[in-house]
Amino acid sequence: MRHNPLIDPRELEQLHAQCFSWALTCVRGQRSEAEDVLQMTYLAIIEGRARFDGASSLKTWMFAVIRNQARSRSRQIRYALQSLTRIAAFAADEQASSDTDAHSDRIVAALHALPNRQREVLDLVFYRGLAIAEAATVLGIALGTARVHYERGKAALRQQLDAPERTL
Amino acid sequence: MTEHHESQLAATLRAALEQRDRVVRPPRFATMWTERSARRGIGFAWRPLAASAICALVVAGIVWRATDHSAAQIDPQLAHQLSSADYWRVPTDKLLAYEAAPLRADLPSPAGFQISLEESVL
Repeated sequence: MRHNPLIDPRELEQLHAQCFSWALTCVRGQRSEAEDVLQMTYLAIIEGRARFDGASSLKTWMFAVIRNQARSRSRQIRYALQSLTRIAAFAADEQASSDTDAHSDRIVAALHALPNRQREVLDLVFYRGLAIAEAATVLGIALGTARVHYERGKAALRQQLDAPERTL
Repeated sequence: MTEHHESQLAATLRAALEQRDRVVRPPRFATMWTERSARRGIGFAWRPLAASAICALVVAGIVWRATDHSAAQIDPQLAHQLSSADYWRVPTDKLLAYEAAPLRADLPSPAGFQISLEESVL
């Protein structure tokens, strides 16, 4: 690849499913948003606006680019399409809830309800098996800050998951 | 939070996200990796250069059109002779062989071109 000679598209293809899953987490589970974010990420790589220098693993770097694209996109459309996004998210949630079991839905919803950094660090560490230091690299924050978000995220998620169980 | 609780939370979350990813399948990589279509266009880095090249072509076209290309190409040897002190030695038939460039201005008609002798002297 001209602008990113260190990237092999076949390697990207192998990471594709993981990247899409990570994009889903970054946009709180909205499928169409995740697709757009991933498409923008690939375009940024092809056009050389995002360059891989080999300082970290390709996966870590890809996750960081996807997250930045998601942040940038969410800033762009936050105000203009707020109501439309809500409707789309509601429709997507309805579709998903008809297909998945309620228990998983509740956990994923609880994760999506967490603040951005807490949600992202928990996803990276618990689901994708990254070390907290790698998660810090993806999020572009200091290791100590990542640890704080990790601890707070765990506590908040536990609290959210326990609360409805007590009421049932 | 104890280690047991932490691993339990991690397992719960992992299972839920795996379930989500089973339901929300990613689109095919080939449909999203648009390297070919991107290459059809001009990259950001080359756009200023492309714009400059287009401007240069437009200017060259304007200059080309404005330049008189109807003048006959003269023989270099003859041109050298004409520019020397012996220009009068150049045979007239050689000069007549060159077609005169057409004039681009309208000439006054002979009928309206009546100037008195006094005017022409002044």
